Amino acid sequence: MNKLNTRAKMKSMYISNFAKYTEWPAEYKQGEFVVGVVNDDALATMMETMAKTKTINGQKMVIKRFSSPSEITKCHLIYVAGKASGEVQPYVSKVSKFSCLIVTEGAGLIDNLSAINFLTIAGPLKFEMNKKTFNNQELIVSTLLENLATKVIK
Amino acid sequence: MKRHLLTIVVLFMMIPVGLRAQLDPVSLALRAYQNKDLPKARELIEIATGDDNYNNQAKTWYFRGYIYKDIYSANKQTKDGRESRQQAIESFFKAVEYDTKEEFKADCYKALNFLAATLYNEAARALDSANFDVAVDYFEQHKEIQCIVTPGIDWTERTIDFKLYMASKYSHLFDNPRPGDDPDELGQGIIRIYNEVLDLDSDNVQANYNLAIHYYNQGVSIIENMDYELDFEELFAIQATVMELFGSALPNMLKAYKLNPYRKETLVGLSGIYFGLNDIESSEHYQEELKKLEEKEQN
Repeated sequence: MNKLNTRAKMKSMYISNFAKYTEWPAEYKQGEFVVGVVNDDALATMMETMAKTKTINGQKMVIKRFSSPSEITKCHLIYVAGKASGEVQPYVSKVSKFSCLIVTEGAGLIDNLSAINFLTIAGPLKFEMNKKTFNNQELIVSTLLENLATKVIK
Repeated sequence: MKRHLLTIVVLFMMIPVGLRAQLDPVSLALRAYQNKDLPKARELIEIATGDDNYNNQAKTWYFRGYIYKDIYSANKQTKDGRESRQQAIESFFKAVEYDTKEEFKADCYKALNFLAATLYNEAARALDSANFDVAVDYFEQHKEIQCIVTPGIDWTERTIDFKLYMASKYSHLFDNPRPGDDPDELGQGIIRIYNEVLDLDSDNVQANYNLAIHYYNQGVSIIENMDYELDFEELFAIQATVMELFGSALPNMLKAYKLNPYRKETLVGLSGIYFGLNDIESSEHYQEELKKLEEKEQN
């Protein structure tokens, strides 16, 4: 039986597409494209494999693993694992000073913490979006991505 | 055979040499056979079977069966050898047909039993070298003979064993294809064979489990080999295909679980399938069951 973490691989593909359909401020469009992964080794491993060959908007991808808020450094995108807002909040606070696309996976997290949240429902992987968070982080989301989201908070 | 053959040979030896030359072709064939001159024995027995005076006698076909059986034994791996086996089988059946006094029947059945076993062995060899059509053909020939010679055998069980072995060979090729192998054809073959087994026995744990794993692995393999450059549109299309495969795996894995809830592989399988279907709650449920089972085993 193949032991691949299918959800992690699928999420890594979605995340790279989230980045593809998001525009960062000019000063973020050069150098490396940094993706932070918090407390999800399976996803971090998938992203690291992806980063070996893939670029995001012409920028070389670099994956950083974080396991505590104090480790957080500047990221273009961060995925924070954790179902409770209390777990996610400290990381969100740390990246809020950057133009960072915050991605989470947990019920209710989209309301005031993340810009994109994976839904934990059976079936094809779905996501919801909070345009306010995009705006707060000075990020511009494409209409295509908005149209694909199950729910968009405006 | 040996007992009858010995009697006949003894009687034959008692005939004066001069007289033997004028003997019928069956007796002459027997003499050649005793002298281990199989080509001559074949030539003479063919004369006998072409002669209306001899071709309706059980003895003629009985000897013919043994002559061809020995030709087969001497040339097992050649075309002539295999054709000779076929001739031997037909001859023994004809001998039984003409044997109204049942003088030769027991010997014929014993020889047929032996030949049927060689067909089964060839079927297994053909499977090992992935000659599936040939294997099925040999197995069916084996079965046809055994049904007559050894009535009462449970063919359902034997057929299932054969098909499961064949499916395992298909799976091996599917995972390690040779140049020119068509993966789609092999994949369809696996599904077809397991479904044939389930038609014979819907409660077969192995077929249910293996079929589920085949569907599941196909889905995982698609995800594993996804190009990192895929756009959302392509991703969604692939995801739909994968979900369908995981969905196909689920009923068979649930059946395998129902048949044996304490099989660890099945619990791992169910957890993996539900995980693939993004039903994390169900996936964790079976993960928990597995954990409890392993703890129970340790205590």
